[in-house]
Amino acid sequence: MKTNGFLKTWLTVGLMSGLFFTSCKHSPEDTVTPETPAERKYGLWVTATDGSYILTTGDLMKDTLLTPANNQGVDITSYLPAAYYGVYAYCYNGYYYLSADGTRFSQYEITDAGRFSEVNNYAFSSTFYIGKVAANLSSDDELVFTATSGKENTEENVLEQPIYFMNTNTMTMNKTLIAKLPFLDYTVKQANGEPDDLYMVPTSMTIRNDKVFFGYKFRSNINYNDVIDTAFIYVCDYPGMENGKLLKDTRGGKVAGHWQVNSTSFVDDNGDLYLLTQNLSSKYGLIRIKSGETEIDPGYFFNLGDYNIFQNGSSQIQLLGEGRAYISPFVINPSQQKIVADLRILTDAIPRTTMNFVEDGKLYDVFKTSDSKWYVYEYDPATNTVKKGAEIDSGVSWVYHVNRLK
Amino acid sequence: MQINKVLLTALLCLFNIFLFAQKPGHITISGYIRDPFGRAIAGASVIIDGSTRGTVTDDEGFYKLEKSAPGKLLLKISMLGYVAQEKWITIGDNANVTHDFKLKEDRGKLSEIVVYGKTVNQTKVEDIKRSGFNVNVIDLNKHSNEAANINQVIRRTTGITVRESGGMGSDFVFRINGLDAKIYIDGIPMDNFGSSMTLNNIPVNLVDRVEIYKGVVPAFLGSDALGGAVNIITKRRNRRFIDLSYSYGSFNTHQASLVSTFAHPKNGLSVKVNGFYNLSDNNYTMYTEEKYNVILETTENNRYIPIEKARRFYDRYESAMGQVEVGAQNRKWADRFFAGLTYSQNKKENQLGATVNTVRGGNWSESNYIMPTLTYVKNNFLIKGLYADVFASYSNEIRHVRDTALHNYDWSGKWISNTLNSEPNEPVHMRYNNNNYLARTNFNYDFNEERTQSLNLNYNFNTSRQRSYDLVENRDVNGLPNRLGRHIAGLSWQGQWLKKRLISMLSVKYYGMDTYKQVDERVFGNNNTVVSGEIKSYNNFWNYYSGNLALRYRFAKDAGVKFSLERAYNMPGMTAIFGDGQNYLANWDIQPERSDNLNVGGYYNTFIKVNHFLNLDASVFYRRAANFINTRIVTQSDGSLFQFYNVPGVNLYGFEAEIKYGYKDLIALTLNGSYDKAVDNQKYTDDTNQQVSLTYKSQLPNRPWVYGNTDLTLAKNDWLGKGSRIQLSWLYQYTHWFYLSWAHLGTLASKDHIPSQMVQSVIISYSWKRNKYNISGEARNLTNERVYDNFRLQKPGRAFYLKLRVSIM
Repeated sequence: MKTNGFLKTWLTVGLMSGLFFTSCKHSPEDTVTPETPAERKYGLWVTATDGSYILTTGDLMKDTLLTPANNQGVDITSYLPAAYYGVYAYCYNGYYYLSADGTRFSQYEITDAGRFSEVNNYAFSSTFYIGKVAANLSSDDELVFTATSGKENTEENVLEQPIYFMNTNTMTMNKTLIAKLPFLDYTVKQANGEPDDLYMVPTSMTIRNDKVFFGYKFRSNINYNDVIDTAFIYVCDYPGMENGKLLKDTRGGKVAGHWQVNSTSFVDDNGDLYLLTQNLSSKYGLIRIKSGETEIDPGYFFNLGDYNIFQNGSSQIQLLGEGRAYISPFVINPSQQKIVADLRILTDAIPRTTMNFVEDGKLYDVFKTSDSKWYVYEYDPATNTVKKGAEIDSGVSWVYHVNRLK
Repeated sequence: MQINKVLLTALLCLFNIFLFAQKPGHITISGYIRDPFGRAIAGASVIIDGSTRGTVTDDEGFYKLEKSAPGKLLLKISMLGYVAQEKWITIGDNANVTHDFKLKEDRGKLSEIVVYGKTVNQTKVEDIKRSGFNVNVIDLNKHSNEAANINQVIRRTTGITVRESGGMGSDFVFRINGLDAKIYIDGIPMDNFGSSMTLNNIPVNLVDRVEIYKGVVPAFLGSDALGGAVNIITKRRNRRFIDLSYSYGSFNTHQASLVSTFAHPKNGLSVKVNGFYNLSDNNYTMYTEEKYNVILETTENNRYIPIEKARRFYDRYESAMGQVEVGAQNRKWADRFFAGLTYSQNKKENQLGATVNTVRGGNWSESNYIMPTLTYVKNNFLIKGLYADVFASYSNEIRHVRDTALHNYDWSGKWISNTLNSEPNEPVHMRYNNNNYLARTNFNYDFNEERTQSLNLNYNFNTSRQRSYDLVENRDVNGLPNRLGRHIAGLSWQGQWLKKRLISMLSVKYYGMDTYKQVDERVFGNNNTVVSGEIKSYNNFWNYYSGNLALRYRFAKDAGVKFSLERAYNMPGMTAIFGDGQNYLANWDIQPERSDNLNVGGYYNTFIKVNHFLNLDASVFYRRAANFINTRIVTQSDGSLFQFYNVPGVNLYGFEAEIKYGYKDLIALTLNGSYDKAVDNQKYTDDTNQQVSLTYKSQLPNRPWVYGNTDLTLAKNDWLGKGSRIQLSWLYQYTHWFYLSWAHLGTLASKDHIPSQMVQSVIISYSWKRNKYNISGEARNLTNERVYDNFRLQKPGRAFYLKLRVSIM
C-alpha cells in the first residue's frame, strides 16, 4: 500500500484524538472541604426542582441565608427514588432513618466532611417502609416503630401489625410485638353494587402506659379512595398485646393521616390521648380517649371543620406543653377546645414544613411569606409570640424536615 | 418458547429451498459496482451491448443478469456522475460469471456529491434528503458483520445519546440532541410493532440504512416527533436473496437473523421472509466502585454487607420475530403490493428494582404480538407524476407482568432471611391487552419530469386501546371505557431553484387528537338505587398546526449550507390523558409538548489526488421546548399518585461536527464530536410567579452533553484469495462525565456523578467469495471499562462475539 503525507496526517489525527479522549478524566476533581465541628447543628431537609438537600446551621435563629446554591448544603438526591420520599424519612437523635427502596432500613448521618453517609442498616426479607414511630417510648439506644403494612391473617380476619424495637447502635432488632387489627366483618359495596376490595392503612400508633392504640382506615383497591366515614381504633395491652378491642366513632370520620411517619395523634400532659379525624368531606376533628380509659370519650369532639388545618400539606402534630398542641397552622388547647393562635396571622406567612420541630419548649417551623420569602420561625408558647429566624432560599420548593443533628 | 423452534425450523426449510432452487443450465452474470472507496453505487445501469437485456444495481451496488446465452459479450456500465466502463467477457455453458466494477467519479460532469445517500433507491426519499434537513444516513450494510444491534451502531453518530440500563433487551432512553425522538420502521411508528421490536433488539442484518433527522422532521414521516426522528429502512430486494447470520458470544448471547426474498422474474410474485432470534443471560459481572458510590451488597444476619463484585443472576432476555410478506412487484397495477404478517414475542427477567441493591428474583414480563399489514405503492397512480404509498395495519399485543418472588433477594442470589416472620411479598400478575389500528397514506405529485417542483401529502391516523387486568385479584382495573385517536396530516412543497443550487421544502402539519371517556356521575341511595346523575360521555377534539422550512444552498460543487426551522408538537399518550387505573391519575387537560427547532449547518466534500476523500460536516442547533410533559405526585385522600402535567420546559443548544477521511477502500477514518446543552427554562415555581426557581437558567443534570466517537477501519482486498476481504475496525466512544443532580446545588463533596465512558472495541472480519461467506470476531469494551449510562447501573464489561454470515444474492 502506498502511503503519503495525507495518510500519515489523518492516521495521526485519528489516533491523537483517541488519545485525547483517553486522557480525559473519569470524574470531577474531588473537593472535600471538612466542616468546622459545631457545638450544635441543625438540619433543614429541602427540595429544589427534583433535587433534595440538607442545609445545616448552628443556629436556626441566626440572621443568615440558608441555600443549596453556590455549592452549599449536602446533596442527598441520589439516596431517594424521588424528592417526595423526604416525607417517609425520620430524624431521630441526629440520625436520619430511611426505608426508601422498600427493602432496606438505613441509618444515615451527616459527616464532618459534609457527606450523607450510611452508618448502618437492616435488611428486611419483604417489603418494608417505616410507619409510625412511638417517640415517647424510644430512647437513646432504641427506636420503636411500626411498618406501613402488616401481615394479613385471613383465618382470624386481622392484620398482624408489627411493632419493632430496634437497637439503634447496632441496627439489630431487640424484639417485635404483634398487634392484631381486626378487619371488617361485613362486605362493603361499591356505588355500582359490586363488592369493593378494601385494604387497611394504619394511620396512628400510640403507646400509653400499659396500652397501645392503633388508629386505622380502609381504602378501596379499586379506586384508591378512602371509604367508611368511621374512626377505627384498636386498643390492647402493652406489652402483652392481648385483650384487644375495637373502638368506633362516627362523629369525625376516619382517623386522619396516612402511613408515613408524621404523627397525627398525641398524649397531653394529663395523659389524655387525642386522635385527629377526617371525614370523607375532608373536614377535621379531634376525638379523645381519656387517661386510664380504653373507650372513646363520647362527650368530647373538637370540631375543626371550619379551620383550614393542614391546608398547605399534611404535617406533624407537636405537643407544646401547658396543654397546647400545634396542628399546623394553629396552636390549640385541645382539652378546652380552643384555638390559641393562628401562626399564619402571627407570621403573615403560610407553613411549608412536613416535620416541624420542638426544642426547649419552642416550636420551629418554616413559613413562606406573601412576597415568597421563606423563613424559620420560632414560636414561644409561653408568650404566644413568634420570632423570625434564618432565611431559606426562596427557590426551594418544600421543607420536609427541621431537625437537630448535634 | 416453543414457537421459536417452529419459527426457526420454518426459516431453515426456507433457506434450503433458496439454496437448492437454482435450476441446472441457468446462466447468470453478477457482481458489485462500487466507487474507489468501496461504497456501493446504486442505480447504475448494466447493459449487454447489442441486446435489450439490462438491469440496474440495487442498494448494495449488486447487479445480476440472468439467462444470458453462452459466448462473448460486451457489458456496458454507466451511472450519472461516473466515468462509464465497458468490458468484454466470455461465458460458457452452465457458468455463473462474476464481474465487479469500480467506477471513478467524473469530476467534470458531477453536478453534486451526496456523501451518503447514494444507495437510496427510493427517489422520493432521496429528494427529501437532498433538501435542507439535518439528516444523517447510516448504511448498515457496512456493519452487517458486527454482532451489534441498531442502538450500538447509531450511537456512534453525532447528536445521538442512548442510555441503556444493562445488556441485551434492557431498558434504554434514546435522544437526538437531548430531546425525545420518534422511531419509525419503513415510515411506520415503531410503537406499532410491539415490545419485541426495539432499537436494542433488531439485528443490523435486517436493515439497509437508518435515517436520523435532527430537529426538523420531514412531513412524509407523519410525525409528532419533538426533537427529531429515526427512520429504519429494512432490506428490500426485487430479486431472489437470502442473508442468514448467527452469532454467539459472552454471557451466553445468541443472535440469529434471516432476511430473504423470493421474486418470480416473470409474474412479479414475491415472498419475503424476515426473522430474528435473540437470547442472552446477561449474567455479566458488576463491581463495587466506591468512587462512583456504587456498592454491591449481600446480606448477613439481616444486614447488608459490601462485596467486591457479583454476577447478575436474573436478567435473561429472549425475543423472536418472524415476518412474512406475500405480494407482487412491478406490475401494471402496482409497483408493490404486499400483504404481511408479523409475529413476535419476548420474555424478560428484571433483576433490578428502584436501586442497584433492590434485587428481584422473580420479576419478569413476557409478550406476544401479532400484526397483519397491507402495503400498496404505485408510481403514476391515476395520473402521470402522482406517486401513492398506502399502508394499513392492525396490531394486538398481550403482555404479562409478573412477580412471583415471596421475599427480597440480595446479590448472592438468595433470599434475605425472614427472621421476623413477616408477611411475604404479594404476587403480582398483570395482563395488558393493547390494540392499535394504523392507516397511513402518502401522495407525491411531480409537476415536471425533472421533478424540480413537487407536492407531498401525508396523512396518518391511529387509534389505540389498552385494557389491564389484575389476574391475582381477578379484576378488570380499567374503569370505564376511553379512547384516543390521533390524526396527523402534512403537506409539503419541494422546489429546486437557481439551477438546482437552491432546494427548498416548505411544509405545514396538522395534528388532531380525538379523545373519548365515560365518567360515572351517579349518586346511589339505599338499595343501590340511583338518586341522581348518570354515566356521562365526554368527547374532546384538539387541533394544532405547525410548519417547517428547510433550505439547502450549494455555493460550490462540493460545498453547501443547510438551514431548517420548525415548530413541532408531541401529543400526549393514553396514560397521560386517562391514567392507568393504578399508579397514574388522569389529566384530561394536558397539552401537547411543543418545540421550536432551528438548525444551521454546512458541508464540504473533496477528493485529494483521486484516492483520498475528505468530508466535513458541521451544524449548530437551537431548540426551545415548551409544555414539557412531566410527572408529579398528587395527593388524593392522603394517598399519593403520579400524574402527567405540563412544565414550561427547556432550551437546548449545541453543535456537532464530523470529519471523514478515506483512502481508496482500504482506510476509513471517522471522527465526530457533539456538544449539547440543555438549560432549565422554568422561571417560577409557584402560581403567583414570585418564587424564582433555584435551577432557572441552569444546565440540566443527569444527561450526557459532551460525547464523541472515533472509528478507524483498515481493509485489504484479495489478500487471502481472489474475492476475499479482511477488515479490522477500531471503535472508540467517549462520553464526558456529568453530575447526577444540579451542578451548583449542594457541596461538590456530596454530589454523585456518572463517570466518563471510554469504550474501545475491535472487530475483525473476513469474507470470501465476494461477501458470500463472512466470519467475524468482536471484542467489545476491550479494556473492560466500568461503563455506566445511568447512575450505578453498570453495563456489561469486556465481551467477545463470533459471527457467521452467509449472503446469497
